[in-house]
Parts: sequence; structure tokens; C-alpha cells
Amino acid sequence: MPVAVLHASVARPSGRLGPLAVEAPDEDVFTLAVAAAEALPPESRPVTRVDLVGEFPPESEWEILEALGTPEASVHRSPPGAAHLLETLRSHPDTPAAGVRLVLAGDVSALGPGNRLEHGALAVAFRLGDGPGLSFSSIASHATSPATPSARLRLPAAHGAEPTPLLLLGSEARVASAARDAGGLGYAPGIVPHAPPGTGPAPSTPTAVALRAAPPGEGGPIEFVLAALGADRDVYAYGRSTGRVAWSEALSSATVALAAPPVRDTPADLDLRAEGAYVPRPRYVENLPSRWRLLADHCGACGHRTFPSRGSCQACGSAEVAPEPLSRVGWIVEAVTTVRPGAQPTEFDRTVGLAGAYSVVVARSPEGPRATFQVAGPSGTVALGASVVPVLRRLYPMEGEWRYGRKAISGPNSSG
Amino acid sequence: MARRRATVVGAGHTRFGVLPDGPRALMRQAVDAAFRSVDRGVDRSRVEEAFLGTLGFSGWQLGNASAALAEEARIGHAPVTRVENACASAGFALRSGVRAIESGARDVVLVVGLEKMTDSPSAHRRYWLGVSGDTEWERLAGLTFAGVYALMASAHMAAHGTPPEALAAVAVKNHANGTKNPNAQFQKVITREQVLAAPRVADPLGLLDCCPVSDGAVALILAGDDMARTLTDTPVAVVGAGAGADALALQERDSLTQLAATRVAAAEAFRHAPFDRTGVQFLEVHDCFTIAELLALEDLGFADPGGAAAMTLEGATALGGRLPVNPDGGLKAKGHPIGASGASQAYEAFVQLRGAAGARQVVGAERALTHNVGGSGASATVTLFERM
Repeated sequence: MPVAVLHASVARPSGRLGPLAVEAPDEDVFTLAVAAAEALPPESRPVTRVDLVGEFPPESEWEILEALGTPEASVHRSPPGAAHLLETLRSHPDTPAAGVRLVLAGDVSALGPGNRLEHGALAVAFRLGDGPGLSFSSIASHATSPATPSARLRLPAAHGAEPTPLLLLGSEARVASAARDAGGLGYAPGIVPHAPPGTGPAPSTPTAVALRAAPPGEGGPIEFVLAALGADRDVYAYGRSTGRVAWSEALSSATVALAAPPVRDTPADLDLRAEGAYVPRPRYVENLPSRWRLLADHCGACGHRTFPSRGSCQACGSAEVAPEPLSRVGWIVEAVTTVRPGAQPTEFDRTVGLAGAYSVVVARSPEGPRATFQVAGPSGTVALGASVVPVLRRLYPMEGEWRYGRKAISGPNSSG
Repeated sequence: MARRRATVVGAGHTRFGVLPDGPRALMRQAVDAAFRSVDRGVDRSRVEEAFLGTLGFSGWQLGNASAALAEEARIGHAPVTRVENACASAGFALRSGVRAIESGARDVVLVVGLEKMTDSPSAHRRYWLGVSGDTEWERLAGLTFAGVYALMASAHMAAHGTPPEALAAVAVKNHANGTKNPNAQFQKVITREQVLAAPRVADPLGLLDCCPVSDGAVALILAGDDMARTLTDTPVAVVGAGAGADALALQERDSLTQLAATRVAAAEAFRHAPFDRTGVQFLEVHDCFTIAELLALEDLGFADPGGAAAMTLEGATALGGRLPVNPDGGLKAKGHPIGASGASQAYEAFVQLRGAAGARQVVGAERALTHNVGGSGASATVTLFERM
């Protein structure tokens, strides 16, 4: 049985630069990909393989397995771009029937010539396995060199009585010219622009939005074309899909208005050194099951849940505990403050510098244990009694790399 | 045979504030003043053991600071133990000294609290201000103590309707008391409007809800009650020394609006004391933030849960009120050199119960309670004093 895309999800960034959605300072490809993966519906089969498509941070191989709680899976990387995503989705059809595969693709925003924002940020997650879903066939791709910018869109002519839907993704000028070509070949082009600020109606990203918009969800064979503008070349990928898949969307946080395009960290930016209170890297890593996956010890003897996980029960001492993650929704805020400049630990100087202030909450999980979370996004947006959702975000850079943890965003049951 | 008690027979206190002196000089000044204060004198050679409460702020002699005290106190080769329980370091050092005497192991003990905080750059200071909080969860969420106490304040306000004016009233009262204490860092009266309008630090706490960063040292000389009168006519007995502990992080505590460590410490302190709460004439409580004084009044059992706000607003805790709280200005106005504050509270009990507190004297005071908290309530001591 062919492997199909069983579920798909999208995670949108919370930063806004003009009309475009770009990553907030505490988001990156990794956090967006985790958010997308967590938005997939529940699945009982184990993950056997994870593909990362995009420019993921250096540590993402083990980090993604830790965040997803799938230590047995293998992890593979592919370069960014719609063509690579299509290729990855089509490849390795040999997923074991007992398992599923995840393909996580994402982009952060990119600047083009003249420092114009070329596209925003987005991540998508696909779960592949045996079952009804979306299948791909007859995928091909090619690239044009910037030396031949006038190269025409090379497509097989569409066939059939009705024009074939077609998705074009690229810079305004490129898409316009490609659309003319496609129309002449019998396609009905739809355009998802990832245009410079002020000109595009929707944020988009070459790797991700392509697939989000491409499957029309109506079933039946669809031919589509994706065109993604890269820094040095245009990549076209096209192919035929059959079937359909339902998309879910990660909960988004309050919008962070940015004054300037996000900048890439240099190694020096990340070289915060430890001083005073400090979490050594091995301790940080050791705590990740609780910090990232909210793992608690559920006591078989007395029923108490110990969080963070300690390997035995904090109430009765029993070692008969089962590691179980706490829910990711329905946390209720029991205490809240907004930390103003000067009251932050110096690790968060950068956060305060960018945002001015941030809120912190103590919230109670539906299962009982409490945790302390910084609030992602603007301060003052979460009130006592509100329902919040812990999402994975960057905390601060330390010793050359970003450290990540859960932050709170307003939950679905929040009255606002 | 009656249980042996420890007494305070001498006490010395440097000024608190931004001081030019280093940690060694501060210890030396406090210890010298303590020895001078013993009415009939006590030779340093009689000090059998010493306890030093200090956090080691900024990293000055983070290890083995005890030896520096041995040098500056000129107590020969008497053993010195450094006690570190964050802001309650000196409270616990005092308790160690008291236990050493109560057990009969020692007759004369020196207790010193010390902190030197203002001599490092502000970024370095901010690193250190959070070192005693929960590092792995609260700090990684972006909290230092102002934020942690602000969280408790928000929960207290939600649970009891505690008005911001009650927090402000704590600051106003303690600043007024501070003007009567020559050792206090702040010698300035402030108004409720100023507190409420001050820049916010961590909502709902503003700048004037927070204690300052301070330098200072305090020394106490303890002796057994069986020999105290050979040293002074008016020893002050320690008649209760309780302590308690709790989880480091708020998230793991039973309540966000009560400090269990304080409650346990108070229960232990009163267990063998010759008087109950009605016999206490004034309190020295750990008001690192204004909300902390309200929590203390409730956890120590002098107000019902949620009742401290009204008690404060009606003036009961003012100097001259029904139950004066922090007549020396408290941590808020007197200053809070972290490892010294617990000893400073005992110093205040000593001078007050001897009728030597000058303009801030609690008239007729014979019995006092001091309350010292480590961190946001991870540790606490409650000590009861009575004039012999």
C-alpha cells in the first residue's frame, strides 16, 4: 500500500512586520516545527523516522526527538525549499506498517536584494504512513539560474477539459511572468505571493505554504506547480497528487509587532557566559523531558503526580511511578506578574531589550501540578484565571546555543 | 532542672547602606562594637565558637569566608562555621549559636551576619540577586525575587482582595520608622501616593515596594543564661528559636499566599516559650518586599489569612500602634544586606528590650519576635526574645 500523508498541520509565527508574519525573537525553525508537530491529531503508532526540511539549528537532530518524545526514530535533514520538501514527501515509501513518519519543514523570514523582506516564516508538519490520505506521484523539479532570469516556466501542457489548478509561489515579478506562461499551457494559476513588505496579503514561505495551499482538498488528481524564489536561483517543483488530507493549525500566540526584520544571530550573539546562578548544560538537558514534554511521575501507589519528574513520588515516596506528560492545554493562571526592565535575570536582558517587559505566570495543569512559565509575546496579555497553553520557545542563548523551554500563550478556553 | 537558655549580652551594628568599607572592615566594625557593648566586658578569648551568616554576594570569598571572620574578630583558633540560607543566613546562624549554648556545649558564642553588595557592577549584581531563587524553573522563566514576590502578591490580591494601598502602607510605615534609626539606609519619609506612583518593578510591586541593595554587618555575643549576669545587668534571653523549610519554587508549594516555612518556624518557637502571641510586644519581620510583611503577619499568626492589610491600613503595626512591626525601618528602609538581616533583627530586639532604642523605642517592650526568611520562603526562622 502506498504511503500517504495522513495528517498535516501548519504553525504560523507570531511576529508581524507590516502585513507579513515573521518569526518573533523567541521563535525559529525548530520552535515552529515543534508547534506544527504538536498540532497534529493524536496517533498511536510510533514515529520511526523524522525528516527536517529547512535550515534547522545545529542541535536539532536530538532536540527534535526529545521534544517529540520519540527517542527511537531516525532523523534526516534536507535543504530548504519546495523542491526538497516535495522530494522528501515522495521518497522512502518503505515506512513500516506499524509506524509513521514525520516530515517537518519550515522557514524563517529571509531578506532579498536591497534588504527587502522576501518571505515570512512558517512551518508545516506531515504525518505519513499506511492509510487513507494524500499521495504524490509524478513529481519533478528543476532550477533556473539567475544567469537566465528570463527562462520560461517549463511545464508539460495541461490536459483535460478543465484548466488544471496550479499554485505559484514567488516574488511578485516572477509569479506574474510564470502565471502568464502557465495560463498559456492550460493551467489555472493561483498565486501565493511571498512579496516584499506592504505588497502581499498573506505571509508565506517557499518551503511550507506551497504544500499547505497546493492540495485543494477536493480529492481527485490535481496537477500543481510550486515556484520558490531562492537567494541564488528559482526552484520549480511540480507534480500530481491524489486524495485529500485535513489540515490542523497550531494555536498562535499574541502578535508581536516588530520594528525591523529579524536578524540572524552571529556566534558572538549566542556567546552569553555563565555567571552567578547558572544551569549547566547537562542539567538543562537532563530536565528536558519535564521542561519540554511536561513529563510528570504518576504514582501507582497514591495517584499523586510529581512535576518536574524525579523518578519517585514526592507525596508518598513510592518508586512505582509511570512517566506521563501533563496536558498541553487547560492550564489555569494562579499568579501573574510583569517583569520590568531591571528586575530580569541578566540572561533575559535581550528579551527585555526587545520587548521592554515580559509577563510570568504560575499556572496549574489540569492534572494538578503547577509550573512557572514566561508568557510568549507582549506583556500584560494574560490575566489571573485565564487558560494558557505551554508552547516551546527560545529562552536565552548560553554558551553558543539557544536554550529552549515552554512559555505560556493564551489558551482556547481563555475569555481573553 | 530548667532548660538552659541562650542570652544576648552584646550586639554591634554597622550602618546599612552604600558604604565605602569592604566585607572584612564591616565585620571588624560590627564585632568590635559588639564587644564594646558588653556592660562588664568579655575577653575575646572566651568566645568558644562563632557562626557567620553570609550569602557571599558577588563571589567575594565564596568559600571559607569563616576564616576571614576568625581573623577580623580576633578570636584565635575558635571554630567558625559559615551558614548560608540566603536572606535567612543570619537567622540560621543565630539559631546555631543558640543551640550550641542551650545544649551546654558552649558558654560564649559569637554570631555575625554580613553582606557586601554594592561594590560590583550592576549587571553582576543582578546575576547575584537571583542566585537564591529556584534556578532551574523560576529563573529560566525570567524571575528574580521581585518577580517571585510579585507573583505571590498577585495571588494574595486575588484571594483576599488585598488593595495596593495596603502594600504601600507597609512601605510608608517602615520608611517613617527608618527616619528614627541612625543605622537605616533610608532616612526619608515617603507618602502612599509616592509608593503607588513609583516605577513598576514587577507588577504589582513598584520600586518603593522593594528593599534596597545594601552593605552591612551585625555581630551578636551570646552567653548561657547561667552566666549572663556576670557580663551584663540586662541580658536578653532567647526563649524560642524555631525554623522551617519549604520547596524552593512557588510552583511546588501547597499555597501561593502563605509561607509554610514561617508557620512551622513560629510553631516551633512558641512551643517552649514562656508566653504566647498575646505576650509579644513588637515584631521584626522579613519585609524584603511590602507583600512579605503582610504574609508574615498572617503566617506568624498575628492576623487571619487576608487580615494583614486591614491591620496595616488601620495603623496597628505603626510605632505606637497596637503591635509595632519593624520599628527599625525593616529591610525596606533600614536596608537588606542579605546575610546580615537576621542578625540585625536580633540586634533590634536586644536594644529595644534593654530600652536603648532611642527615638524608635517601643515603650515598655520586654518581649519581641523576629522573623527571617530565606529566598521566597524556602527557609525561615522565628526567634523569641525576652528581657531577663
